Amino acid sequence: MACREMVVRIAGEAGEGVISTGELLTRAASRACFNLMTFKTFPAEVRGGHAVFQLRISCVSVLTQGDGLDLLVAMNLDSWQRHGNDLLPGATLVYDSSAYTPPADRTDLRMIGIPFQALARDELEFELGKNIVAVGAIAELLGLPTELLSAMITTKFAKKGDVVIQKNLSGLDLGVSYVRERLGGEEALKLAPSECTDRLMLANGNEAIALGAMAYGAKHFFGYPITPASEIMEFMALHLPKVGGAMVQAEDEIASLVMAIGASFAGVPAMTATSGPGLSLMSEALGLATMIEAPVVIIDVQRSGPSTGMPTKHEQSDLYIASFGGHGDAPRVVLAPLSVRDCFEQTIVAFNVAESLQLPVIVLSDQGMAVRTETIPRPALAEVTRHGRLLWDGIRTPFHRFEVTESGISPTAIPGTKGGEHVVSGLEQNEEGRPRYDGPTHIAMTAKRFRKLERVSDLVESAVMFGDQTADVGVLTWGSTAGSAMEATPALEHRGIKVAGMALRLLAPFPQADVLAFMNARRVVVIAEGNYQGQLASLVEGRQRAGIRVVRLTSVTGVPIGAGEIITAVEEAAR
Amino acid sequence: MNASMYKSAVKPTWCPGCGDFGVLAGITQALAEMGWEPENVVAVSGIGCSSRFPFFLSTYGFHSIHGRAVPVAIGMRIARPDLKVVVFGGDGDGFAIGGGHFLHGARRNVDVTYVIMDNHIYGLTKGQTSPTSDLKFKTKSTPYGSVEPPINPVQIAICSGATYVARGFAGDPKGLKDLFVRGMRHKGFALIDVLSPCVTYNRVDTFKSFKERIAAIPADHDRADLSAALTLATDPERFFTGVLFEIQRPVFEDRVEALKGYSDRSWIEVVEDVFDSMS
Repeated sequence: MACREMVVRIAGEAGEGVISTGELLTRAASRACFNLMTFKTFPAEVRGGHAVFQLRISCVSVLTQGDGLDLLVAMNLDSWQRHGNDLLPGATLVYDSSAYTPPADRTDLRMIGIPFQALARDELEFELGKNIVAVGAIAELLGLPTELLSAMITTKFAKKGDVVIQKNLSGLDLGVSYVRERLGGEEALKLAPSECTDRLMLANGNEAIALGAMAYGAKHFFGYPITPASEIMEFMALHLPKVGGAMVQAEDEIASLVMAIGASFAGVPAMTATSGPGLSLMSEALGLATMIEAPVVIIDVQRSGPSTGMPTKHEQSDLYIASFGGHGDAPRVVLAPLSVRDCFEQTIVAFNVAESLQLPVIVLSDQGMAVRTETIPRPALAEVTRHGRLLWDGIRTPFHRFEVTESGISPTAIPGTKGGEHVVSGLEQNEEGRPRYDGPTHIAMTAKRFRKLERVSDLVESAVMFGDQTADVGVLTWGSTAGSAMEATPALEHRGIKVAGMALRLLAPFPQADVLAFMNARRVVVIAEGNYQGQLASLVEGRQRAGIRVVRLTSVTGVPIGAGEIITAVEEAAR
Repeated sequence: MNASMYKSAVKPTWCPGCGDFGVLAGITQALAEMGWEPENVVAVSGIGCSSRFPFFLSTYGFHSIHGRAVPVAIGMRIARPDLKVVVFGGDGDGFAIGGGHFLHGARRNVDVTYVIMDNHIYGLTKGQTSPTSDLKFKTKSTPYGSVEPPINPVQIAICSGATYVARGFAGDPKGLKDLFVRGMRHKGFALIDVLSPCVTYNRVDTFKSFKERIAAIPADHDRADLSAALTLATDPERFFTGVLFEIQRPVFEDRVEALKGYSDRSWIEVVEDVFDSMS
């Protein structure tokens, strides 16, 4: 069997186990080494309403959650009515034949009825077990190893005792057997075993960031609850104490960043995570970190709108505040991971940049990435790159904390180091760290702080190029929109439009020369980003060579830009 | 150890006659008495005349931003409980812009010594009303007299959970030294509110006027008695100086430390476990 991929959606009444069904299947597929991307929606209410879990399974890397469905599992008529139209021609519907019969007019679909509810009620004598029957049936249809699921069920229900475990294992088996025996070992949907050899982790964007920080060796986190970033803080609260570290929930976001800066001054890698409103509050402290040259990592999981906006919705509208927010000339580094996997990797990069350049680094994730899960290849921890601070050697005296060097990086001394005593301050200071208000000092020290940015390109891969770089049509994007842009590219080529792509992950210092070189080799460039103003586009539009057209694809719908929207925009622009 | 080894070469920026000189004398003597090595001490401050303090000491120093000294200190103590952290600031820094942080530092009972130089005025910005200014007090920002009643720092400290609360007077460096030493020895959030006159912008709360209102805490005062401490703290006429309140309660750092699951396994092995839980 050849490598193939599937987009599977499970839909049903909230509270019926749709989400846990999806999560069990996802984890099993991850352990079977398939690449995955998932996405789920459920009503804000605790009970009632409609729940959806979607997973995209592939033996190659997955860029987006997918548009059309290959398989829909609709647990009730309402679910079929809501999602039936998203099925691709030739796709499969699995329905609970004990609950309803779908209309016969969709002859383009393969319909498979399985009486989940009746099986659970009559044979399992456990009506609530219908979702576990469904897990077994779907796993068998897809060819996922059922022994992985048995092991997961045993672990999942370990605390509830043998009776519950047995009930669920029987339910799983019931689903598997039904497909094998009654459907004659349905083969059409079976996935070829994955040939991957990586060890995979399954995480959403928030977890990926927390895992990245732990992989770097960060042990100190300071946070304040805010949607959609709180999960990072909660993850750290659970795990940091185990590595001898600590999570402190501060009294506000100002305190959380300031605590992190205090910890950093005391010599440890430190971080905080927030969303837009928190980043606004942190602006002054961000300047403090720049001024005292304190390494610190700030995660901004972007959400919609100014002020409180739409806290649970997606947007990429913090490019401006992250890059330019705050008073004075304040150098900082801004990274925007391109995927959940990149959230993991760029968080490690963020620490390396912060610690080696002694400055604040902001990582721009977003709500879209925070709620979807992806598989992440697990690194060998011993091989993770970890740069630390340049420390005073204790020999050269006198020690001057802000010694002006060619690179701008000054050796630092951590409290406890004899002879390294110094004062840091938000005031402009001379090399010794004494307040100075004269022009020459401010010029020299400002230049020194900015000079450090020249080293960023050694530490950060500023963009990922994709598509055909000889094409005269370009797509430029940043952060999480990269996935949709990368997915759109082969689809456009299939439609006869060759596209050159550039996905920026370094936003500050802005890689202007690289971006202009990319734009200047095109006839037309579509700039796709999830904000209203075209925050990236406004940095470059008008600077490209004359005659090159720029088309802005901006979106503030509250959900990520899909590949389909990019395809449409590029088709129009390329005309 | 002698007091002069804790002084830096930087000449204080304070006006001649400023109360803060008395605090500086008391602090350097207290540090000498504690015998703390300068490299193990961090002086943390916010913004204001008194917040310039770290520059005048030979220890490590962190002159941060307005109102945020306490969270800076908390971050340091969580990362490095071996460091001795002393926080300095004024009444505006600590009780206006930094009021929220003060409250949470006290309730957590972080093991720091916090010295407030309380002059009832904003001095660095050249004379505006502060949270400890009296009602009807005339300043540039209250030309018709302040219409806001003041807060009482020691009362707030006691009620917020501070475990050592003292009031001192800049005109008595020897007395201050004793309060500081005791605060530094105290394990927990130690607040010393020092009446420290601004000789330039406050012509009402002067050395003379403070001195007239100061009274020694009665010898039979029970420092562990919250009600008795509050009664002395809120006396409408007199400023009782000395230790008003002192109790023992677990400190934040120890509670955080107690959560840590140490084992003989390396952090890499522990992180591998976390990674396992995600696969």
